[in-house]
Amino acid sequence: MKQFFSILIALATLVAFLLLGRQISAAIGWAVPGAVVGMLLLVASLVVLGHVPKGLALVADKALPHLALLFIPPVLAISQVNALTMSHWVWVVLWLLMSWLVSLFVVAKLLNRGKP
Amino acid sequence: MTIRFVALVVLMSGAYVVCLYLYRKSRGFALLHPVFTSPVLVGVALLLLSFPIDQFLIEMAPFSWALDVAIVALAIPIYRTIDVVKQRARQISWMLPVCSLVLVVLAVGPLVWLVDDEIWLSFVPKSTTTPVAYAVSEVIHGLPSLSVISVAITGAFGAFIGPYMLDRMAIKDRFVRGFSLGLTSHAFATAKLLESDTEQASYSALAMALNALITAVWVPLVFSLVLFNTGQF
Repeated sequence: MKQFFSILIALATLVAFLLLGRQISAAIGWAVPGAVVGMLLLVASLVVLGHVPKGLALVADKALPHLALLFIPPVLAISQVNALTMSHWVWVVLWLLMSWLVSLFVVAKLLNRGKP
Repeated sequence: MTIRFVALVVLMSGAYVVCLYLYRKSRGFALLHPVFTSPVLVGVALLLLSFPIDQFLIEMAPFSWALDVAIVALAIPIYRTIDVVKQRARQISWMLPVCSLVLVVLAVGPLVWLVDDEIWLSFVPKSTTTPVAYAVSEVIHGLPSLSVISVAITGAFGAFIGPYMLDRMAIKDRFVRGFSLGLTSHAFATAKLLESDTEQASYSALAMALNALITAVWVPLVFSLVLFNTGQF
């Protein structure tokens, strides 16, 4: 029961930070998504607090690994994009592979140079 | 909340559980990750039920709320990296902005001149973690669904051949290995590294978290300032 309440409070906290972030983002007229502003505020709050409250830790550890569930609708939505045909997809995957290879190479070399 | 909404959520969750089971059975084979398999399974189920996909998407629109809540919840893993951030503050403070910029530039490269705006804009956030890529893609007018897919494919490369490529490049430093894989292949790479070397995995998680954070801030700002003002949108 106690755990149930701490989860509820954690969810309420997350929603509160989300709403706050959206308000701030809208008020400033910033292009940064409200959810990202909410995330930044929560990171700052945790730094001030000095630790992660139990409920929040529980929600993050249990729910975040299952994010793929939330992505079912967005991924299915690609079927509604008529601009992409099968042959386009071959190019998309080839581009992603090339871009990934070059990115890893550049980033790893950069980091290797800068190591202490 | 209609009965139909509940039924669709149950269908989605059921498909996800089946896919997660298969993924675990395969001992983490990246192509069987539920991010790839569960939408296919749901799509097939909808086809069999002759339920139109566009209707499904409309019904599931409230789900984007859960995604936004998940982005806020990323604050927790980000906060947990604080000790490593403190230890390596000097290194990270210059590496991170440089790498974030490099990753965005290499994500689009010559595509800016070759393909439709909404296509290359979708690739811009492909090195960040999925929920952040989704949100960023939305504000810079990419196709969020294409962004999600490109993030997942990019991550799968990292899980499959990331460590092998680093071996080929003769990179031995564990910080460099973990950090570069986290930057380029986010959660997929982190999950892969967790199987063999938790220290590398922690650097990977750190890179993934910080890269998502910094990219989610500068990309929307720069793109809205530069592109929107030149009248491209």
